[in-house]
Amino acid sequence: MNYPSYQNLTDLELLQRYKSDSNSEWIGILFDRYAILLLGLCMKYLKNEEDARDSVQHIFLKVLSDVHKHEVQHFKAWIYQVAKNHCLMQLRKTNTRYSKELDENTMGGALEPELEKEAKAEKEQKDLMLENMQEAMSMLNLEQQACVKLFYLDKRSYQEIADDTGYSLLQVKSYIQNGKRNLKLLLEKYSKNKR
Amino acid sequence: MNDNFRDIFVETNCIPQQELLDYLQDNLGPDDRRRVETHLADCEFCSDALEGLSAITEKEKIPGVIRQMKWNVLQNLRRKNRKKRKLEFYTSLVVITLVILFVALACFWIYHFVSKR
Ligand SMILES: [Zn+2]
Repeated sequence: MNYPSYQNLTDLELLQRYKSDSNSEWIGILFDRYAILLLGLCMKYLKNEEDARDSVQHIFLKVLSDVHKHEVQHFKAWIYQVAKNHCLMQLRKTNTRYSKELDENTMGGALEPELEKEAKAEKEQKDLMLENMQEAMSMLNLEQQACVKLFYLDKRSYQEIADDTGYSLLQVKSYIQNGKRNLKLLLEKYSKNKR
Repeated sequence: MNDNFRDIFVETNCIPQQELLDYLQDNLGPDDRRRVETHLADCEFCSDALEGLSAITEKEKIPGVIRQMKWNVLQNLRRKNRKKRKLEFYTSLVVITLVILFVALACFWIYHFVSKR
């Protein structure tokens, strides 16, 4: 089943087809989309290839058996949350350090509306927000400011930024991610105040 | 300055398997690398995944590992489906038997009742 048209089906369409004809090929396509992401995610938390491999299969089968119980709208967000919780649960068995993060990430109905709200608010305000960019940038801490500027303004790669600043690749990545998240939050706040 | 920041709001699709592997092994050209990194700043899933994948020592074996996992998962699903179909088959067999039995009993009772009069 390698026809390109099947590759264009959305996650939900694939699930729908599987529900109606039980043909596992649909799930195969879905698996190809997420397997490597799940493998990486499990590796990040479990730090063991064998455990990660078992977990990926477990998570995928669990998601499929739960799919009838929930009205899933964002498959990606959902499988990410299930996978993360599975890994944290695995870790919790041996280690209580991660228990706090797990509690903060309890999954459930709250996830869906939150995502939709976020997407809607984002689209509405983009242009308004860009006006305050300079001001918002100055509110970031220095590391985030530097990395965000180098990445978005100078279009440098992660590796180049790491070489330039002396930060590690992981640090660069997280400064950009967090800087970007903070920027968005700040800009949203500004544009709300202005209206 | 502001136009350069437009990238912050661009929403990009998740990175396909091959591209992710190429990025990990530094086999991408600058444009593709840029696209991947822009997405990474946006997507926790991909960026977590990349962090985990970079810890795997034999990266060239990843596609094989994934094929094996896929085979296991699909095999498991097919087994479950076969079981389900079997169960459905036996359930309908029982229902049909009961119906026939009931009809036969009814016929017998009616025959008995009519012949008595
Ligand atoms: Zn992604």
